Amino acid sequence: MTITADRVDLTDHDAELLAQASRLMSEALDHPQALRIALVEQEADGSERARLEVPPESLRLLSQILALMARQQTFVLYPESSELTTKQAAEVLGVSRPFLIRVLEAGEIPYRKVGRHRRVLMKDVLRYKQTTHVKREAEMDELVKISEEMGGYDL
Amino acid sequence: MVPLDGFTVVLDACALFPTLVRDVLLTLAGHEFFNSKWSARVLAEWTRLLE
Repeated sequence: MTITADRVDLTDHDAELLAQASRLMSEALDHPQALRIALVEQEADGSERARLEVPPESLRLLSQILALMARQQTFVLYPESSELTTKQAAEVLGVSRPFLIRVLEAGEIPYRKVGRHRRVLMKDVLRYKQTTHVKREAEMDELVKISEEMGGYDL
Repeated sequence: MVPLDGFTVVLDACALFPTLVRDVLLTLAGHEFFNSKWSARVLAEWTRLLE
């Protein structure tokens, strides 16, 4: 992946630990009495060295990130305003760069030009992805309907 | 957060022709288990099989 600056490679054991941590966090958050949640660093003898109070909302996000990491999948966290190159946008959509360029030139995703290069906003790319997803679902339903009429499911 | 590990699967006419197989594969692709691709030639063969 070309977008991320940091790449974390996990062993299966690490992934299991992260999955556990994520589970514990969401359990703590679901607990109605959990008003304050903290990360505590302990000395070898069990005494407290440092305490980090975490706002529950941040912890919820952190828990989601840990769960994603535990699945050992590649993912990207991005600021809403991030700009992508055409190569990166094509990668996010799972299409080739020439195909993406055609989509841009058809005006389906807004872009701006930096010199000779095109830049697109991550949020526009994701909006396009969502639109095509909805369109595809409708087409799939249509295909099933036509197949039914043709008796395509009769065995 | 955007997952990015999708791989690509080419669906040939023999995978697109049987209705149930096609529906299962396209549904999985729709849920981003993989990217599905086919060519104009595959589509032409599929259309010919339907006739």
